[in-house]
Amino acid sequence: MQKQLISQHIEENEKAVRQAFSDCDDLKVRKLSIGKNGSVKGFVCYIEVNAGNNMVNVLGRMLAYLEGLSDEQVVENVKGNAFALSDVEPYEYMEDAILGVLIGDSVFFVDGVARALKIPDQGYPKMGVSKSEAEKVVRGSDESFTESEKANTALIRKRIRNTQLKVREFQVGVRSFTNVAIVYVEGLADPKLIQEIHARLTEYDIDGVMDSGVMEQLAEESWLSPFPQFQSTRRPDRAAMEVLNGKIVVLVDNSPVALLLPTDVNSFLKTTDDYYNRFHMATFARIIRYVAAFFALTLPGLYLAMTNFHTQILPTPLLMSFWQARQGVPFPAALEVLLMELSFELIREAGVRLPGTMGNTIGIVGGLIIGQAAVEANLVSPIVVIVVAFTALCSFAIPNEEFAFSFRILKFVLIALSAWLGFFGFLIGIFLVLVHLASLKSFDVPYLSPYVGAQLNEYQDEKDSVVRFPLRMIWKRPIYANPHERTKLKKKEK
Amino acid sequence: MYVNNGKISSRQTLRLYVFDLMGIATLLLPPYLAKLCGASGIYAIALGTGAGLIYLLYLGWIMKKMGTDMASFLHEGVNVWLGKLVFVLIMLHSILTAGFCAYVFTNLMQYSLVRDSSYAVILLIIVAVAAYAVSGGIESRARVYEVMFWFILVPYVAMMLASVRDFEWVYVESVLQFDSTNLGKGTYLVFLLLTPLFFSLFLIGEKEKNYGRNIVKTISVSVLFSGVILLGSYVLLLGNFGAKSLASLRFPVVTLMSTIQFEGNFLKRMDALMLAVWFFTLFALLNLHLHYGVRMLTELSPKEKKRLQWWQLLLPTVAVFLVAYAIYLDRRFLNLFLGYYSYGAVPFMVVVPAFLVLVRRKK
Repeated sequence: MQKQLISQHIEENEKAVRQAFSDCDDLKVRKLSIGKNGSVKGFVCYIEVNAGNNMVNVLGRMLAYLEGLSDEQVVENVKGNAFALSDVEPYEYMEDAILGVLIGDSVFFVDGVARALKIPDQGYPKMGVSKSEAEKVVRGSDESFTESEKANTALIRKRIRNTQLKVREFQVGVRSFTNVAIVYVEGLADPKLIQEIHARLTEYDIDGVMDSGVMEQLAEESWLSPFPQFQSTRRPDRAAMEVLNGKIVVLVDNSPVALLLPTDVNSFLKTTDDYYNRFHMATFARIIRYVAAFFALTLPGLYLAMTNFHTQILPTPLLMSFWQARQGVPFPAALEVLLMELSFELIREAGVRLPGTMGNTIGIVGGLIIGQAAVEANLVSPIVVIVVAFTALCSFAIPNEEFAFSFRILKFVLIALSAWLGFFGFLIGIFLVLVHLASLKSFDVPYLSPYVGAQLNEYQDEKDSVVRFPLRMIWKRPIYANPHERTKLKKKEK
Repeated sequence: MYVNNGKISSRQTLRLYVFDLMGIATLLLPPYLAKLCGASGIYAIALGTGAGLIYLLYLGWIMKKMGTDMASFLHEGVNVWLGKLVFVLIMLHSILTAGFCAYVFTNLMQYSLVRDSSYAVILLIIVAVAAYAVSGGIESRARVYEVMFWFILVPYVAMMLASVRDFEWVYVESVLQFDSTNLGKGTYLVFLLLTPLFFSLFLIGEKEKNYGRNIVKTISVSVLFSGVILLGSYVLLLGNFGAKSLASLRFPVVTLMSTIQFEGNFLKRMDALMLAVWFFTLFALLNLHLHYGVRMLTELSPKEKKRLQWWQLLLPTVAVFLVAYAIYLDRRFLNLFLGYYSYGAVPFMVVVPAFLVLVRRKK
């Protein structure tokens, strides 16, 4: 494709820049009046948070140099790049200038000059960007979202250097005026979805928005459901990856948690390093996570059903050992499980609220010392400690905290049903959860995707489910992407 | 965008119908077939499945003639009062059958899992959960079974295969001896359990020249699949128990599950866990009928409000509970239902669609 030369006319250049960055609210265009009389027009454009000290220094020196010159001299100096500044380089073509902006530099245009000047900057923000502690991965970027919405959009743009990455900003909160940004790739995200999320996010007049969680709760359709209908992430690489899949990212100022939509069950059980590792490893890890999610929900209930109602399932020696372990425990098994589960939740809650190292300590104190003491005091049987500990381990293996929380809550429902009606109650509980999940949707996408309705995308979405197919076979974007832009991988034609 | 448009995919239709057909058939049919036909019950299953396929072809022809789903046809294609009458009749049929399903389901659960619990409480829970499932609409129901399909089918087939080692050929040697009257009765019995096929008339397909062709094609795979499962199960039950014992057992397939012993020392008996198969399949059938009971009432109601109203869900649900409880309390109600199902339901499902096509309004 032929490149477009930069025009001599500042208006045409400004128009071209604004057109390329339409709906990109993170792009800033600052107009300048240059020269002795201030009659030479110019503008500098950059991605907002990228304007660092270097840009201010260089631009300041340039403007100071040009301040005393006549209009003709200004044009001649810019044309000849006569600032004696090593940092400044010229661009001939508009596409290069735009790419320069996307890379993180600032670009300076002057009326009457058919070239633009690149003012290199420090690139994308490093300040305040910390390691991702909540969503750790074995392989991949360590960067985490910050509390600044601007920095967060820049962290996504750092990974997708394309003018089609759109950032639509608006304010929410009648008193807080909190910045909210909707980030998506034009052409990949469904336009109806963009409108819908904007409408939902602006549906309420609220005093203030202190975190993305507030927006999430207000924008959810099934707000009584324990299951989150937005996926949350603190990882810019995750957000960027999902944006390329056609999802939309919502960033809220002062919140390091981005919201991704639409979502489904499968998305909550995926991690970014599933895509960075070989498919065998990724698939194995996913199977482990699915199994963990199942047991995080069902194990205590299953234990109660088997030991209280259907002992015929278990071999006699095992049953005897269970019985012996329970000798002297004054509580019924259901109460025992419930007490242990509540104690565990208490330990977890205390661990979260306490500062870092103390939080770890409480885990050890609670888990080991209290657990051991409770067994020795015959308050609980060792088998229940094992069941509760294993259940907790399983819930920790679920990568998304909000999703794991819904399992933790529903686990208690299954405990109650199993304690009351045994395996029948257990099945009723499982069926209810399934029916609920089947009726749930996230922005019109079935929550159980891609296990249901997969034919709509020719069964391609199933290639990235429990089994993660080799990357070269996952060539299609998921169902929620624009139907006309579903191909995400193809071999280059030779 | 993708959900709540009243349509379900081919895969969902296939899986849903397999669940609708195989659950009650594998649970209830074997003892009756064993009593009537003995080993030749195998032919009855094959013939009944064949009859089901012919019925499906007939329904396909009806769909083609109607050119749309039956609900739309009853609204627009026939006299208003005739349409309403048919809606009422289908609603009554659905509620009665759902009540019977709930009765069987509750019996099974109480007999196998919660013997000490009250029948009414178990029934109430089952019917309430079914109502909740129905409230999500047909898509929600279809999605549950789309997900559960292999989780149910693979363990079932594995358990049935595990029972092969106790198989006695002597029990199936009499396969060539049969009485044609009893074989006919057996075939009819198998066909009776395939009558949920009638509701395929209500599935929404693409508006095309050969309306219903895809629906019929998909469901015929379900019928064949269920037929094979039933046939396999029957042969294995026969080979394990013999016709006489089989005829005397209440839920022989559950009994078979309890006799299968696994090697090793953990999870020796799987019968309690395997009840999940009939839990989900019977729920599928109960939900199917309750769904159509609710839907017929919705079709009869004024169309101002799009969403399902609470009373439209509650009334059929209560009716299903009452039917099931009445059958439980008094065996005469069971006989009445079986009489209706044997002599009334089949003629209704065969004759009424053709009649409606014949008396359709001229455009």
